[in-house]
Amino acid sequence: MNALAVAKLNFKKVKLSYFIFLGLIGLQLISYIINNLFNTSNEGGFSLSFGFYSYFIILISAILIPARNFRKLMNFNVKKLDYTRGVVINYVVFSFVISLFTAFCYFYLDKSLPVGTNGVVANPFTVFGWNNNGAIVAFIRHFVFLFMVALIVHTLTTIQGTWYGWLTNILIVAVISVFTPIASLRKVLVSIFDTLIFTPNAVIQILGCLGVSVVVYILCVLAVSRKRI
Amino acid sequence: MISLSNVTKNYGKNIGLRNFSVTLDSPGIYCLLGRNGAGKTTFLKLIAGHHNASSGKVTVNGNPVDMLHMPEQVHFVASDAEHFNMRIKDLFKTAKELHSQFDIHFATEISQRFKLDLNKKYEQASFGMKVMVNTILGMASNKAVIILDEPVLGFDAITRKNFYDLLQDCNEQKQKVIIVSTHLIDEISRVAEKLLIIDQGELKLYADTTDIDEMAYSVTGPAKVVEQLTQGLHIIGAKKVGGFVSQYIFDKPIEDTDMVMVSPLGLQDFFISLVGEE
Repeated sequence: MNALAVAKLNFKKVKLSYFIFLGLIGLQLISYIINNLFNTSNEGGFSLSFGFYSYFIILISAILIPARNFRKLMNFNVKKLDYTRGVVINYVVFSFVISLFTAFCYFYLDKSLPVGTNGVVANPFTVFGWNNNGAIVAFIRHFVFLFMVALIVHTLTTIQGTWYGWLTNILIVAVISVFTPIASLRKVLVSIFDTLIFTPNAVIQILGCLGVSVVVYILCVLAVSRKRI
Repeated sequence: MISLSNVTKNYGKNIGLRNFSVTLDSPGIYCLLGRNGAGKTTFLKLIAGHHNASSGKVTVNGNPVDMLHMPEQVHFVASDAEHFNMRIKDLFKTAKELHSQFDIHFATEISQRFKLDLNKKYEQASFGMKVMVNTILGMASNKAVIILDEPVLGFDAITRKNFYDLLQDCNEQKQKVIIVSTHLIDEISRVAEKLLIIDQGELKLYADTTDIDEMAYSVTGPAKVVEQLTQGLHIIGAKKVGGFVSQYIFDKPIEDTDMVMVSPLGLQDFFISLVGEE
C-alpha cells in the first residue's frame, strides 16, 4: 500500500521528464513544419521515432527519483523498503507505457513522419532487431530492456557521493577504456551487449535483462539501506 | 519501548555515541539536552533508523532498528527537513496517502491555530513556517514515538509558546513518547516530564524533571560553612567570589540555615553546571 503511494507521488514529482519529452516532440514537429514551409523537406532522409524520445521520461525519472525525491520521501518517514518497492512500480509502469507508445509509433506514428518513401524512421523495435520475432515479443523485449536500464541508472544515481559510488564510476570508465581498444576484451563487451540487446534469441535477451534487473535491484536495496538521510 | 544497549556510533575517527545505554519505557515528553556535537542528533537518528549503530543494539517495541528496517512507529522530524514544493494542504493529503493513520483534521486544526496559510506552497513559506509544517506533520502522524530535532529553531517567542502548548495538547490527546532536542532549556522545562542530558557521546543524566526541581539547588555562603554543609552530597559545580562560595548540588535537599542560602537551580543553570565546566 505504501509502495503504491510512493509510486504515485514519484509519478507526480518527475514532471521535468514529461516536459523534456513533450519539448523534444514539439521541437521535432516545429522542424517538420519549418521544412514544409520552406520546401526543404526531409524526403529520403532519416528521422528518430518519437519512441526513442520517450526514453527521456524513464531515464530522467531514474535520476530525479533518487537524486531529488528520495530525501523528501524519507522526510515523510517512508520506510526504505517501501521506497524501493515503490520505485519498482514506477519503472514497471514507465517501461510498460513507453513500450506501448513505442509500439504505437512502430505501427502508426512513424509512418506519418515526413521522410518520404525512401526515408528511414529509426524505431527501437527495428534498430535493435526486436521486431524479428513479432510485435508482442518485441514489446516484451523492449519492456524488460527499459526496466533494466532504469534500475541501473537509478542505482548508479543512488550511490553517487559514496566511496562505492566513486569506485563504480572508476570501474565503468576503466572497463570501457581498457576493454574497447583490446580486441579480445572488446569481444567480451560486445557479447554482453549482444546478450542484453541485440541477440536474435528473444528468450536469452529477456532472461538476461531480467537476471541483471534482479541483481541490480538487490544492489539498489543494499545501497538505499546504507544511504544516509 | 525504546532501548539502546551499549550503543557506540563512530563517524570515522569521531565518536557520536560511546557505549550508550538507556531505556525510555513510559509515554511522555522527553527533553534531550546537550552541547553542540554532544551526540543528540546521533541518538535521535539511531532510534529513527537513519543511522546504523557501530556496535550495540537499538530496539523500538522490542524490534531491532537499522537503516533498512526503520521502525514503523517512529516519526522523525529533522531540523533541516525539506519537503516537496506543494501547497501545505496537499502536503497533509500526501502524508495521509503515505500513512493511513495520519490525522489530517488535527493537522488542519493546528495549522489554523498557528495561522498557517494552507494554500501557500512549501517553498513560499518562511523558515519558521516550514519548521512548523514539519512539526505538524510529525505531531499529526499518530505514531507512538515522535522525535523532534531542534524544532523551535526560527520560531519567534509567541510561536514558541504556542509550540509548547501544542506539544502538551498532542501529548494529552494520545499517549506517546515525544522526544524534543533543544537548546532553549528553560522554555522546554515547562512541558518536559523527563530529561536526558548527553555530553561527549555519553549519557550524563536521565531523570524526571520533578526530581531535578527537588534535588537541584545551590548553596551560597562562607566557603568553610558551605563545604561542611554539603560534604557527601553530589556537587555538580561551584563558583567562588572572595570568601564566599556557591555550590551547585544534585542530591537530597538540605534546610536553609542562618549562615547559608539555599535556592533552587533552574534547569539551564543545572545543565551548565553539569556539562559546562569541563
